[in-house]
Amino acid sequence: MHRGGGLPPAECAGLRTTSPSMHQDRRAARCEGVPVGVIPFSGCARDAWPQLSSACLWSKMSESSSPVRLDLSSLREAPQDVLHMLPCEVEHNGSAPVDRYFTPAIRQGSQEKSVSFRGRSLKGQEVMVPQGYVGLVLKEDQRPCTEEEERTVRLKSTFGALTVWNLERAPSADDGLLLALSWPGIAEAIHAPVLKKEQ
Amino acid sequence: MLGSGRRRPADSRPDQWVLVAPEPVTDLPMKPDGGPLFTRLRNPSTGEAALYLFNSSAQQLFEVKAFHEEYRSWFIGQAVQHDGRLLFATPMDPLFLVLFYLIKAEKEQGKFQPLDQVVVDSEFSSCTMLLQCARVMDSLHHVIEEKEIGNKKFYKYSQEKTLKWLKKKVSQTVKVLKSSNVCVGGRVQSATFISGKQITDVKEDDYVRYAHGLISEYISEDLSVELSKYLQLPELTSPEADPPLKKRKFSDAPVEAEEDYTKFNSSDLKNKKTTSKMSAAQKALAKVDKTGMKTISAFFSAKPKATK
Repeated sequence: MHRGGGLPPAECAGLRTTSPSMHQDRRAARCEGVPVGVIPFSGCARDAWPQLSSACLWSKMSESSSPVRLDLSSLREAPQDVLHMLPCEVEHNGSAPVDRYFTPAIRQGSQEKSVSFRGRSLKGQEVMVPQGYVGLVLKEDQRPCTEEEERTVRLKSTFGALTVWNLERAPSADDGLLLALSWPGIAEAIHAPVLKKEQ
Repeated sequence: MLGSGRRRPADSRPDQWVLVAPEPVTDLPMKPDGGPLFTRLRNPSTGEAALYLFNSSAQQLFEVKAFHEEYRSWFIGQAVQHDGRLLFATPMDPLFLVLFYLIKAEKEQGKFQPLDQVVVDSEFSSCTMLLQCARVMDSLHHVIEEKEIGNKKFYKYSQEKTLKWLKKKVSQTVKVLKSSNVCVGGRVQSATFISGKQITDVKEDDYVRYAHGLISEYISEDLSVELSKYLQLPELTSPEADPPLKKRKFSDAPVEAEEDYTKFNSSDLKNKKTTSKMSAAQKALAKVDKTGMKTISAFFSAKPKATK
């Protein structure tokens, strides 16, 4: 039987897919139960768009953290990456032979993409980055020893589209990510300068 | 079991982020050591720390939010990333952030002051960067009274002007909401079940209320209430349509209730039933001239609530 994008055992360690029932019950933008290190900050801010919550690049938002500079010097030579947003947590950071095991197993149907990943059936949809926007993967190579020093992240790669995968059912327009992608258009309206002329 | 399983080792702080940002964010800096800057500033609604991004020239400000669902990880090229968040940088009107300090100064001192004495914050030193934004100086007149003594300018918060400015913000937001597919009737989340196109009876008020809710995320609770009055938003009476204000009650676990799609689903189904499953006799009855008639429920309801 086709076993899908099986990763070598070493990289499978700690991979956990969630049960379908948990997925159907998945609630977007939750702030509780966030793993240590990505805590938005104590209590989540009120959110304009329910799919989006406050973000942070620091281990804790409350600490007096120094700013983070984005180094764009690699912009010209930054490669384009292919991104897949998986419906499970992979407890690993690092290389994975995606093109050897995952990509070849993707089937393009008339409506959606499908793939079998670790014995689970995933359904996916490719979505474009909103018009006028770019996708950037940022990497921090070295974290300074003290909190006061300015941190730097470099541009590692760019992307113009990503594939969002769900367990069993295909992403639809009411999916969190697809709703989130409509936020930029609304944000632009809210934050556009007010014209001088009287109403 | 899950709870303990989700714990991460302390040394695996994320060192890589996936961000969607407006193209101008990637405009190259004039100086080689420059570049866009992620920094903490006070969220003008809560007063708490939030993440913002200045572009290379520090003339444009962006708000950074995260799409963060449980059980998400990334494949990025030939690598796996545990942190499955997707960050969004979207344009932010820096005047909202300056307004926070103007209102604070008005409450504390209540006098005309130079701006660099108003926008100071020992906890958030980056806030002074806001004053270098040309856009702040260009739009400041929308929210302040101004006095010029010698050749120095002094400013004071004006609620009257601010409300006027916010009203314009609301109307420009309404315009975009109307042209987008966002469903503004009832609650935010109903957008997930009803496509905007199907709704025919969305009233202007619904758009205004929705836009008011969105803009209230950038102003204090007090000002939000004032704005609601200024916009003459009628109070919502029907129990199904919770005012958007309600959902914004700040607490640790508001999201869960908001995201309970099953609720909307069931109420939605109920509505559909009543409209779609009518017998021929019912349809005929529906056509009868009802002027002067009361609905049966009107006789039983305690309050003389508006009936359709």
